[in-house]
Amino acid sequence: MLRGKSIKIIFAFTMVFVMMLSSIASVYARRLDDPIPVFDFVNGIEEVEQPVKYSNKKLSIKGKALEGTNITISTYWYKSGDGQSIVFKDKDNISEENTDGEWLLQHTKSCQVGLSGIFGISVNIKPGKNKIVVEADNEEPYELEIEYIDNQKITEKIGDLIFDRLNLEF
Amino acid sequence: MKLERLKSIVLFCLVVISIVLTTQIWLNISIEGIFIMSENKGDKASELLSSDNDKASFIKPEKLIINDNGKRTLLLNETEVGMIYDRILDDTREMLSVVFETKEGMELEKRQLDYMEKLRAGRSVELQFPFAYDYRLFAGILGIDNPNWQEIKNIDTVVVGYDSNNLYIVDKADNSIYEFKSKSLKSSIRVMVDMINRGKPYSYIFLNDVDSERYSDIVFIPTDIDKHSMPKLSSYSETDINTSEDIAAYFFKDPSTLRSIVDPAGTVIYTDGEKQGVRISKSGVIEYVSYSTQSRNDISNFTIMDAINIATNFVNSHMGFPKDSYISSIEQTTIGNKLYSCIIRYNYRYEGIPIVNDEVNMDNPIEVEIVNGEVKRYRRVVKNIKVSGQDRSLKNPLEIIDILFIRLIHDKKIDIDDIMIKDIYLSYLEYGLSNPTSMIPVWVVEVQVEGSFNTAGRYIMNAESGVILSEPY
Repeated sequence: MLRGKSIKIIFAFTMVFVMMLSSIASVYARRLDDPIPVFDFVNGIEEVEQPVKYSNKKLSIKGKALEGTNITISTYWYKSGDGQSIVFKDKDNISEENTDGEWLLQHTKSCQVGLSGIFGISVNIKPGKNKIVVEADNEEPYELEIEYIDNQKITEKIGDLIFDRLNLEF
Repeated sequence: MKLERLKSIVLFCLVVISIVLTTQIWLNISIEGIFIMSENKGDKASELLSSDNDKASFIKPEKLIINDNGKRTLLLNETEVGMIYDRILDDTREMLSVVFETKEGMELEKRQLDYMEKLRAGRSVELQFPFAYDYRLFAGILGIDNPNWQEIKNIDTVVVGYDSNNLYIVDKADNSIYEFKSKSLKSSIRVMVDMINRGKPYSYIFLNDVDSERYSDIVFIPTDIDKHSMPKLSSYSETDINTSEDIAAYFFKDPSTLRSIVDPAGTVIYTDGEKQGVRISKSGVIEYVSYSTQSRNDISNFTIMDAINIATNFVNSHMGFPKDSYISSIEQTTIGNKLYSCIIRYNYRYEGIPIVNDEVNMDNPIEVEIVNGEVKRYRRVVKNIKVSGQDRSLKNPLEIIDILFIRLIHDKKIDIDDIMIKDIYLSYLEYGLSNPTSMIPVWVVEVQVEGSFNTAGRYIMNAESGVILSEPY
């Protein structure tokens, strides 16, 4: 009797879980990311609405500058006060993000623009809020805030939350 | 008790249905018998053996690009991802066949070429073909003689939106993109792309996004080249592996009746004295010539489709195709609106990377010339390739472009505004006179120079050092 009940619980749980994962995936997989602007230090950089929503870990930074210009690209990650990125924070605490958290420098890459007039570098970003600072000689640095939503991590996190809170004893 | 059992059965069924539907929706894996009627196995087997499928396998893209919400990568037909690459090609061909054959339930929307920017910004796979295929010819190669949508003239590129399964046919000459939507368009490309993404592919960018005046819309370069490397290769020609007699035996029923001549350069010529001859050079070029094709005054009715059939069958039965071969160009000559001759060229790749021959007269390793529906000439220089050295690091393509600009601007005194980079890609170049021949990784840059013909063309540069090894003259 007890065994039959356990099997039913497993069945019900499996069905709910599969459907839930499917809907989460559908929401995020079909979402179009915001475009990353071209960092054009010759004709000017097009303003974009920030933070840019992005769902890839790798980001290609491309731009245009005069020959000989030194370009430095730095990436920062926002560490919120409780040690978690805002993506995984409780909603109630979001208002505290600006006061408690800090921007941590992750990587710095630099290159010199040649006759091609183009630079292109790929950088990795972390789940949550990221800031990309692109600096060119004698030019105002350009900052771009990116919110990276790692769909896989979110699915894992939801899975963990469900499993952790369930006390399944068979 | 009975009610409990009934509830259990209902619950079990619901679980099974949820799993089946989820797999079908997300993995596109259909379980025959459950919602899907099984296909007639006999029909399928015969279809796989038909010559149509053989021809279709020669339609391959020069570049297969995966666009994933701003992240882009170039998928090469390498051994480790070969099955995924083939699956994407097969699915795209199947979707194209559905579009060519189906009118009912198929929505068509014609868009301008600049819509490509949106397709590239989203989630799509882009198959850039080596040349603009004639629409009817493309359909014919896929086995569809009278396709729908004949307002489309050419196919330069095919794009599949892998979330929506919408299919886009790009006709650059017409400045158009034809968008097809239908419930009957299905593919498993999204699953294939997920598998590729798990392997952390290299990031690429289109340079025309940054400067569309100096770079064409197919200039596509990796941004993290520092992690990229290619091994040095060595190659043996077919004449090293086979004797001249063995090669001649592919072309003549009874080689013992042939006359043979050896010229001072070591080239062996076999001829039957009246109809055909074969030249086998020491460098590995094999050339077959038929002397008996009809004259220009006697034109028979044959189509390009016939020419492709004849050429493919001829190569198949005369030494065969190397792995990863594809049609790289079709050149035709007409007399009085009738097709007189046609040259079908084939290329092949090693681990997804094309090979540059050291033969100056042959850009493509396999060429078949069809005149009046018969094979007039067949030339091939195919190599047996092996890895012979350690991996070489590769120079950043932007540095390669800089070196080329220095050469063009400072040495050849060309104005930078007159230069347009048409394409840049990695390749292997046969280098040196040793046997086996060394093959080194190179960057090939195709350049267009306004008002100058002798500086425009293909520049080949050592991918490790950036030294220019070959340039137009």
